Amino acid sequence: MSESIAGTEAIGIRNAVKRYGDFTALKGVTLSIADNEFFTLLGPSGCGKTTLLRMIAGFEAVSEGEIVLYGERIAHLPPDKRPVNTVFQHYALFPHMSVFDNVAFGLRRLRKPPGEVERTVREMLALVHLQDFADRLPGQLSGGQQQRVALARALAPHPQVLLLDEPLSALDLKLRQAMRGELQRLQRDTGITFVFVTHDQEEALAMSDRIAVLRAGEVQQVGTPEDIYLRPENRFVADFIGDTNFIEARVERVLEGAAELIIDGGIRVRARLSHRVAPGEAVTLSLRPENIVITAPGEGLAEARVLAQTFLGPNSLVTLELPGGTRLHWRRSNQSGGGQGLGPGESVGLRFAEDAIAVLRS
Amino acid sequence: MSARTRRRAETQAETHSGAGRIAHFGWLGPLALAFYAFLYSPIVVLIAYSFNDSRFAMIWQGFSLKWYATVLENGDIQTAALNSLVVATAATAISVSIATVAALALARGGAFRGKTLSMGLIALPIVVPEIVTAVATLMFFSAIGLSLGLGNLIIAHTVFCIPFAFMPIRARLQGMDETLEQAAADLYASRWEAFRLVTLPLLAPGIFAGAVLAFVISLDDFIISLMISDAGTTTLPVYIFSMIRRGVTPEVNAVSTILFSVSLVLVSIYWLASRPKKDEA
Repeated sequence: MSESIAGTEAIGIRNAVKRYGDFTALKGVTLSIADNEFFTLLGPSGCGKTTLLRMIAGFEAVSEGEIVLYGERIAHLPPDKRPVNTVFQHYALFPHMSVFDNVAFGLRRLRKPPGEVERTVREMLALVHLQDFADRLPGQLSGGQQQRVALARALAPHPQVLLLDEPLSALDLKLRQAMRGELQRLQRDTGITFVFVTHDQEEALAMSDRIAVLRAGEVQQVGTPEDIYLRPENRFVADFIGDTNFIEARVERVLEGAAELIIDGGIRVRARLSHRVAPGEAVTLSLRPENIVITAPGEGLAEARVLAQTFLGPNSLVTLELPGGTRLHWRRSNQSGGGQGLGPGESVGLRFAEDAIAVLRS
Repeated sequence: MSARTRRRAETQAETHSGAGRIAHFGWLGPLALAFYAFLYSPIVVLIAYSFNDSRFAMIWQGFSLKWYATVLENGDIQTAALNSLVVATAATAISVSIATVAALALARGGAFRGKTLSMGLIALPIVVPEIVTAVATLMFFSAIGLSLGLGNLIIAHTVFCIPFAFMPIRARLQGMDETLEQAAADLYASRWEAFRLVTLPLLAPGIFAGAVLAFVISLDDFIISLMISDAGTTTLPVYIFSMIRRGVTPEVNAVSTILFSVSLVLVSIYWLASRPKKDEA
């Protein structure tokens, strides 16, 4: 499932299982996170992503399996003995301590000399642009500032891995978008491996080096944002990330790394293969709405009829119907000078962009 | 933190809408006034007559502080007051320690067998009729032959002070974000360091409130003290009772007023301490 990784492994999760009584939250997860990587655990609520993060931090015990941190088994260690730090969803700043004391907390527990504590804390506060707030209490800061204190506090002891549990979810949209770039910068500047948990696919695509998509305690796909978006391996991944058209198809011919398939009762298309299929097999294809190319009638791969059009601002979503009754959504750009809109009932030709169709695992 | 803020906001919202609803019942205001008058006018009268120049409690002859002077000169009252303070201080210290440990175990110890039962047992002294506890304690002490003087009183007071100390501590602990302790552990604090540096300072207002409440409850206790105390260990409320039996002079009013003032001050401190603070929101 995991792809080959360049460089050292920062975290290895080996067949991790987590059971709460009869409920199994993680069903044998195996992941390998590389050194200096921005790695995201993405999935809907209840998929086990936070459980997995808390297992790495040491707040949850593994029921089965092992967690390896830079070659060392850590699953049996308590949280205070693991060289990883966490940015909590609601920050969990100590309300009775100043910003300085919050950031210094980890360094002091590690018995660093006062001079080094002072220097590192100032450095960390500068890194998150909060130099002037050292003496404030967390309650006197805005949500975004508290968030940055939480980051500085977790980064100050220079952990081997930084764990981030939906840290942006409590911020408003503009701030959230600004913080994405900030987090990426912090990751690059510090060179610390980040493991980031989110249910927000946009956030995951924007920031991550690689993403693991989880569902119901199982890893669905691991890959770069491009892999995940452009080459989803199964229906869940294709559906959870972005919009897509699901098309029922029959395998006609299997080629090397690709297949020829029949859709809509007669249209012949080519699609990439990430797994084995046999001729005659019924499969589901995924086609992103922006990968449909509209041509003049008669010039495309097939004819289609316009059913409806929804204006969405930068683009419109156009519903098309193929002769066999298959309906497709086409994302049409609303760039100026793009010609006039299409009216319902109008006929168009269409083809699909190169490499645009993915054969999904059932 | 944020959870608590939210809860407070909700409470405020409820209070607001509640006030709006109450305004529809015009007779409720006068009724409430009558209720308060019934409740507090005896106390007002008691306090007023403590400044009475007369030898008789209920015949007003003019303003005087002489009964307060009498109280302060009365050696028996001094002894009784000292007994009350010693018992209250010791019972408070012991009950707060037990209540803190109990609250930590119940709020942070995870699930364990008999958790609900433990909660019930801690609260039991509040609902058991005090006279029953008093008689039972008296019989128990004499059965095992325990006679530690003030020690007997301290043990008995500790028992009924525990639930009162426990309640504000547990309330404070429940309002506290458990991830704060996890954050401390995540930042390399041992369990003891996490407790000392994070849990305890945040719990302090609850512990303080519990201590004040326990102190007041112990100071004001009468029934149990009456049963347990003997000639040398009379507490102030028990002494006041014996004074009344000898005839009511304004001296009784004066000493009662002093006791009332001390309780009032302590309860005010309790109220101030248990109020959520702005800077923690």
